[in-house]
Amino acid sequence: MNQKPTNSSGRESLFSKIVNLPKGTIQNRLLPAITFIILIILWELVTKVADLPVWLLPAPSDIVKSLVGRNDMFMHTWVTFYETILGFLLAILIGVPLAVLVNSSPLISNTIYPLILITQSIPKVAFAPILLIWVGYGIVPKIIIAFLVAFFPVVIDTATGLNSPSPELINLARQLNASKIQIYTKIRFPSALPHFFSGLKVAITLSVIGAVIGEFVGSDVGLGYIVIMATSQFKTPLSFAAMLLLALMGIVLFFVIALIEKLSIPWYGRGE
Amino acid sequence: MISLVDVSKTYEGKHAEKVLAVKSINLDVQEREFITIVGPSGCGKSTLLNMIVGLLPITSGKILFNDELVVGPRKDVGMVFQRPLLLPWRNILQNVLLPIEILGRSNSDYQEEALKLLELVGLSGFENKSPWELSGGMQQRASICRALIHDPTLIIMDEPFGALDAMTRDEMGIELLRIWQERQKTVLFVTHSIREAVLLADKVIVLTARPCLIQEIVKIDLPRPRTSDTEFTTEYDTYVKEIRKMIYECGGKAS
Ligand SMILES: Nc1ncnc2c1ncn2[C@@H]1O[C@H](COP(=O)(O)OP(=O)(O)O)[C@@H](O)[C@H]1O
Ligand SMILES: [Mg+2]
Repeated sequence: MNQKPTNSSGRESLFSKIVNLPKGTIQNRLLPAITFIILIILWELVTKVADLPVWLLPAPSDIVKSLVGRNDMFMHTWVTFYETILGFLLAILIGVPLAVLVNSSPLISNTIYPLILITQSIPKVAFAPILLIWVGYGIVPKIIIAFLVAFFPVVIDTATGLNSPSPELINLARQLNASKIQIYTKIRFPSALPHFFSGLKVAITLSVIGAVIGEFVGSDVGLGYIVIMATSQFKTPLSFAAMLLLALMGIVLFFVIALIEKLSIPWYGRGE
Repeated sequence: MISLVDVSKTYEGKHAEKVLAVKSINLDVQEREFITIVGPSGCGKSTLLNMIVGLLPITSGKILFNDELVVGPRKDVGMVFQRPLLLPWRNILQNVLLPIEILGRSNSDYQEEALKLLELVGLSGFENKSPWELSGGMQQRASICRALIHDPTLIIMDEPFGALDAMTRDEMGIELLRIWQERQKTVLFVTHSIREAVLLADKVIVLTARPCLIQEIVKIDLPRPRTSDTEFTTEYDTYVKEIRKMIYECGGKAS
């Protein structure tokens, strides 16, 4: 019987559990945390000892202080958050059917892939101002940019996943006169889930970046706007704080996806 | 039950070259016969199986299955492959019932039969386990149940024990004979082990790869039921040597 090997401490950290990392000992879980804390302390010390001006490089304490009393940051975070989520959901809504099309015939795949590749190769920063001209100010261009950067990994990974079942298994179904729909629902879709979720994990972090690019180009709200505004007014600590919130948002969203993955494919990684 | 008349298969390669995979083979399979197909890899064993069950169109000749011309996949066939290919999100019972669902029949009508089959292969009590909780040999037994669940007339097995360790493999061969005797199926069994081919078969079809493309049918007259002791008889050895000679004279190297 193949049993999942357990490590010496007998427990996995939530992190390695959710992100599918190999399980480690306490030391190699503690090490990153300690390194991180030391870096923060070093940063604080260097900026204070060298007496760097805060507009050049703020100390971690300055960054935290810049957030005090700024209740509007909740609103800005919220706006960027829902632009990200809507772009991401759109990427799934359009990416998955596209992956099915790509998977369904070589002819369609050869037609669609170059198009997908082109949309992916156009620099989004260059495209964003044009979008603004087309659809105007507001959240729509941000959602579109977030969607554009996020749908690529969704399509590619889902298509790979749909193609992952062994041809013999597909033959077994074909032998029983399975319909295309049956082959998708009973075999291809469930088999594709692990790939689909790796695509989502990449897509969600890209979505955050996409929303911020959209805000850079034209916005008066959102964390991307805060970064641009604060930097132009030499409020560097606030700019750092906004970046910190963006990073946090990306990390939290990533973990939420990873958690959903863990719950929906408990069989993943258990061999055949 | 099945007859092949001058069946050939030529694949069109990527660069318009033609690969002759099976050359005008003639074969008659009786009901409940155990046929093994032996030969080095690339000699067209899988191609032959896929043509017989209608998954692969033939290039020339004709195949009759219960007096009907084979023109497409036939549902009365069960399949077993080298890997068990169980679906990890289904438990063993649900895996065995997969063909029933695909055929659009009711799972509950076949539940009892599925449990009976699992008992037949020695997997009673494992029906609610997940595939990964079973050893490779046990998973392969479950996949045999999946092949039998819709009561097909023909079972095709493409190197079904090829991925198992030698001891499990011998055990599975004898066990397969028991299941075959109990369920009265026609079996087409591909292997590259000459010993396994002789031990199991009523007839061994010997294939060799290009350039000489030998296709011989050797009838095995060893008494049944066969056991692991069958392998110690001189008659058994004679068959093995005969077939090995055919393959070696052609430069092939089946084990
Ligand atoms: N789809 C295909 N297209 C072209 N050539 C193929 C294809 N499938 C198999 N062949 C060729 O046909 C020959 C027989 O293949 P196969 O039946 O798989 O052999 P075996 O199962 O005995 O190993 C091999 O030379 C193989 O390369
Ligand atoms: Mg083969």
